[in-house]
Amino acid sequence: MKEIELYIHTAEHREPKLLKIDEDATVEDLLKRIAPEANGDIHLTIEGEEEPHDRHRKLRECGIKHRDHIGCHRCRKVAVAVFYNGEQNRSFAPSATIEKILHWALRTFGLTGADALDKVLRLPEAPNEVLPESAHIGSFVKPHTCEVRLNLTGKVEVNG
Amino acid sequence: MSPDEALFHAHLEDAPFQAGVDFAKWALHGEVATIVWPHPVLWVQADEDLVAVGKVFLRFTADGYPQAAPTACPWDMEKNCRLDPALWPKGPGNVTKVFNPGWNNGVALYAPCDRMAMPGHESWEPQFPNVWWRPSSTIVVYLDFVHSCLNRRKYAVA
Repeated sequence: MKEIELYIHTAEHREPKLLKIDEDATVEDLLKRIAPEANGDIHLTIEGEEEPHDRHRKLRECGIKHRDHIGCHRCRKVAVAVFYNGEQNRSFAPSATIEKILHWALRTFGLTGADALDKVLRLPEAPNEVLPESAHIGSFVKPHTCEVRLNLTGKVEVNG
Repeated sequence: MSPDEALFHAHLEDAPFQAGVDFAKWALHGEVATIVWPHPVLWVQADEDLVAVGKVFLRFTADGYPQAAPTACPWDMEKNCRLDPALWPKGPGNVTKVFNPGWNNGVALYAPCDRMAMPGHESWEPQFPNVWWRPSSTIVVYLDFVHSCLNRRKYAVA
């Protein structure tokens, strides 16, 4: 038995939690520890991957390693709308990082060089708060939805 | 061990700090047992066009943590003193504003999470709600702000 630590990202918290688990545990074992009451409505997706893993597979068989970042979320995909000079849409795994979405948004809106340097993503309802780039998009999904709307804006510099 | 030091140690074990260590974004200099409280030294990774050696060492003063905000200044590890102003990071955006040795005699960073900079800058609280130091903040707030200042090139996608 080899125990590994995993960074677990969920809809409930913007910051991950560290979880110790046997690498021979199944996806189902892990999900039951994260959300015992979920009854199969939670999916596990590795950060950087697009599709959830089958529940019967062992973590090791899924390629999950010590200190990997894992998203555990009821949404299989999150519909992301980004607003800048217009609107762009794309679906991401809930385990997609804000950094990944920022890069996609910069490319999609054709922002490069100095125009891209100072851009950040924010929620419309919290217009002063910069979303942390290491967070998962699934952590910003509201209950009963699988969508997130984001504003691509300039970074504010410290002055005053 | 005092409560402030114990909480600081606990936050070094938590996932947000450890995730940054795993990504080589920051780390404690030395071992936890070698911290000379209240002055832990940590480093933050930086773009090499901003800092030639690729990282900045920060010597914190963190008494009262986390009720009181910490303060930090760039540190010369070899000479065990404040970093020569000529060697402070320089660059566009926030870099030269945050790393400003001409401000307050160069004893601290000009940052919304630094206890020396916060007084008189209350307008920063609504401007930087996730950087403004609160008793619920952890050292990761400070490190993440510095890391975001010192890592800009990755956004300039081709």
